[in-house]
Amino acid sequence: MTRKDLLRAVAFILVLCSVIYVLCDLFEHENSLMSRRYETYYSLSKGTVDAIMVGTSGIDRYWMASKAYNDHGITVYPMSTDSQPAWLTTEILDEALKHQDPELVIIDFRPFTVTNTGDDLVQQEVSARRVIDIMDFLSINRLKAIFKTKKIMEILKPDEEQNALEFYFSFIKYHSRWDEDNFTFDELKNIESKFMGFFISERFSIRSVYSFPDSELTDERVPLDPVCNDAFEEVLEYVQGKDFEVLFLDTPHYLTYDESGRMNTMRDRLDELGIKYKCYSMEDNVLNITRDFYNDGHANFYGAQAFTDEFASYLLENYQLEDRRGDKNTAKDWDGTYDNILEKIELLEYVAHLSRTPVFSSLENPAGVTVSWYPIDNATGYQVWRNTEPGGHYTHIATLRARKLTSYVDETAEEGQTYYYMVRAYKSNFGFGTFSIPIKVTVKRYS
Amino acid sequence: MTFTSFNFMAFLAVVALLYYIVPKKIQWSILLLASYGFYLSCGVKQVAFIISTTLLAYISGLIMQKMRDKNNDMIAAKGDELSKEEKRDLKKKINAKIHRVQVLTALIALGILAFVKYANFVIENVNDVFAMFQYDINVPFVNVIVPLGISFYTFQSIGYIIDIGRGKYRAERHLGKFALFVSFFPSVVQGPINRFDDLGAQINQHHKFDYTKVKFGVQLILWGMFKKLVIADRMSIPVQQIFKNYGEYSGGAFIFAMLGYAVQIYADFSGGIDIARGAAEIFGITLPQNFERPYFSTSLAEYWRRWHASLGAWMREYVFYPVMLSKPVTKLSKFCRARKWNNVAKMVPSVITPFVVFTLIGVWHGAQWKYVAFGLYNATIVASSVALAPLFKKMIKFFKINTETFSWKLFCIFRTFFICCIGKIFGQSQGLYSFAYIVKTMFTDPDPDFLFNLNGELYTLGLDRKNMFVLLIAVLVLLTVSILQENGIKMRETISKQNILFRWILYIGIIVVIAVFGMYGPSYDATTFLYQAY
Repeated sequence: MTRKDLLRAVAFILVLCSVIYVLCDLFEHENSLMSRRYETYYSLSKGTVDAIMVGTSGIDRYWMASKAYNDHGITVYPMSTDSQPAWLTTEILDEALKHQDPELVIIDFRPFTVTNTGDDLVQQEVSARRVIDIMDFLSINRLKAIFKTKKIMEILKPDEEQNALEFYFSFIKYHSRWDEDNFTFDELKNIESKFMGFFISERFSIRSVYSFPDSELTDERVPLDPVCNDAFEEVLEYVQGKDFEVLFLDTPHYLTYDESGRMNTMRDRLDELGIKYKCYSMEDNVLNITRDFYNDGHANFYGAQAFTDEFASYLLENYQLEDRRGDKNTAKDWDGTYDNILEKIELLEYVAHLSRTPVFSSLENPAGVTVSWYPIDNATGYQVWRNTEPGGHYTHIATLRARKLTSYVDETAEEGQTYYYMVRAYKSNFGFGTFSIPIKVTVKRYS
Repeated sequence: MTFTSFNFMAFLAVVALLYYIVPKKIQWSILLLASYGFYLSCGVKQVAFIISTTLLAYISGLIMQKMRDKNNDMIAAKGDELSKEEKRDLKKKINAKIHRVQVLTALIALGILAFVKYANFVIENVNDVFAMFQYDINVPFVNVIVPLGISFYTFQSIGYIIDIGRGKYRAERHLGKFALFVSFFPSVVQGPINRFDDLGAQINQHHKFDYTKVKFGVQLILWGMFKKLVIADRMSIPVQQIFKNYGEYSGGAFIFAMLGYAVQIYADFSGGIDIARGAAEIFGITLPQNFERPYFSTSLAEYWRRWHASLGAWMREYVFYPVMLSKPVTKLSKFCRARKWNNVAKMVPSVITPFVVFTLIGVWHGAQWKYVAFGLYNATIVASSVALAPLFKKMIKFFKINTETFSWKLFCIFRTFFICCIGKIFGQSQGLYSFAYIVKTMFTDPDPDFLFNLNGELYTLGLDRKNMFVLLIAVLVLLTVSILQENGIKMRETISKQNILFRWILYIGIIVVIAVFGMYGPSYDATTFLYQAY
């Protein structure tokens, strides 16, 4: 082997590694919102975060860190992932504390109130993967999280073989995604601005009037699921003697009897140890049920705005958190982030408006089918999609690149055929709104 | 630890690193350790079997060698005292003794193989016979797991024993190196069946790090992975679906399954061999070519020289010729000649021998009657093609067919391929009855709609449109490469002469294709990954 060969081999391996890296990125499951939450956190300047939150969607659907900074001056960052498994709490804390030195750690109650059986069990692997996938690839905490998950999965699913390698290289599991019907590489292109961890998606966060029954509050004590109990005790031990304060938090949502009973069990234990907690879910509603939720477990934008104000005031009253506005280091990362969110909300609201607005169609033009819709303020343009049945796969037939263009003539429509059209608005750098309801058109025969 | 697992790749890398770091003198020990490590990773209990066969062959080899040496020494010492006849007698005598040792040890080795592989088959049939005569006797089954690769290492050892008995080469004195010959991990699982004068000699050599060899080895492994993970494992889904539920499908489906299975088994088996040969090449060791594009054969006999060639060669050397030259066969031949049946006399050996060889090959595939039938099927065709050769010649002459044309060759290839395909159905059908049903249905209900209606049943066999498309493209790639190779183009040499950009794109391309389209890892279910409202 000559020197040249060696150099070439090394170069080849480097090229190969980068190709594989891109490939892994492409196939990573759609964790984009959550991974951006971690990426943003990793990028924050050291010593600029006063408090971190860990937990489930019960955190990030409620907490607008950028609003709390903008309106109250505090930097409280949510390091949450959907359905975060209880047992990964300490690894996530380790990972978060590696980058910042917060005065306060806020821990979500929700991971500890689940059971690890049936549907919940299926979800557990998925939610563990979410955490593992988005953690810093080379982080030791990621490795710890993998082995812990493997161990727990071996207990929970004794007849399934668990392979740590498959967790480490998520591509092993995700590579077959190429076969998915709507598999696209959109995720790479869709580079959004910083939202400081707030979960912002048209899918869940449009204003929807949702009502749910009163929580089944109880004074009884219900024991925790064994896995959750171990994890809870592990967390309690973990926070002992650390130089930050700890607050357990439950955001407002519907509680079942069991959940409520488990909360009681945990609160007893916290009382014993003198650890503080705040359970909005058990207090009179701080949020407006008909305005602030998109389902019984999650707040929407309006709920998040209201909750953020409420909880920020609570934190300012109870903890010595300084006003960081005006601090150069903090401003660099945080200034303007609330505007990003407001802008996105604005678009989504218009889109929501669009989806409630009928799309008109007419056959007056013999050249084809005319589809029209109401203009959407701030939209960059619209897309028209078509299909021959109401469900299934619609085909993208046109993109109109102006807000004022509110109709489109489909000249390719064939006589005698029935079509369904959908329209959606888009805005540059923000992405797409939701689709309108489909509208049915049967093209007459001109003979 | 399967060949296509990440663990194996990592294992291979570590072993290769150690292999080239240690002094050349002890390189073999790294491979021996690796081989036993590999074997152990597949289950501890089976190691006793391979060790006992190794020791058996090793010791009997030394005994035979000693007997022969002693005799030769004696002859040499007495030198001129002995007449030529006396010398010959002495040699004959010792050869008979050696022959006894040879047969005994070969039978013991074969006995171990037969016991673990066929004991239950025999018991089952014995029980069936008892039941037929309404005796209430049930011989209990033996509880043994067939040790990994036992057929391969047993055949390798028997070949060695016979060769030593024949005095073809000297017995190996070094137990470690001999143990490595028997257990060499790239070939222990699925072959090829090595010869001691080939692999044994290479084990004894010192291997310097050869960049080209290592590179070629890795390339061969990648190609094997492509065949196995992208083609074979994907193809097996629809093929198994049809064969396992054959009652629900039409002849068109069987035609698809038959062709699909031919592709699957070739891609699977030859892919595995490519990985084995590639792995060995990384250590500077060349294993024999086991597959030489068998589907391009123009006759069944040729096919068996090109499909699993090392087994065919083994059979030829240690079964075919010995049977052909054996006393009963030569006697029968003489008997016919005595009665002036000259043509028959000529044909007797070449008609009887295939039946012995192919029944053995059939049984070698598995302990079931369908495999015996598979052997007889092949034997009948090979034997009859010999027996009827004069007739065919006359026919070709009568119809004035030019056999030196491409079209005739193509016809022969298709004919042979079809015969092979039918033969492969034996292995996939659940029994002889279902074999007959499948073959019959292919002709009575060909159902072209199944194959050509692209909105029909073809996509309901477990592979959707996209997967079928990937499969089709991959098979076309395999076909193209095979045609190029058949025309004497050496792929790796040719590629290595290309420009660097082309080569790198090709290498990275195949790695990406295997990584994305390979069938490996836990399956991914999109629905469980959707955000749940929690």
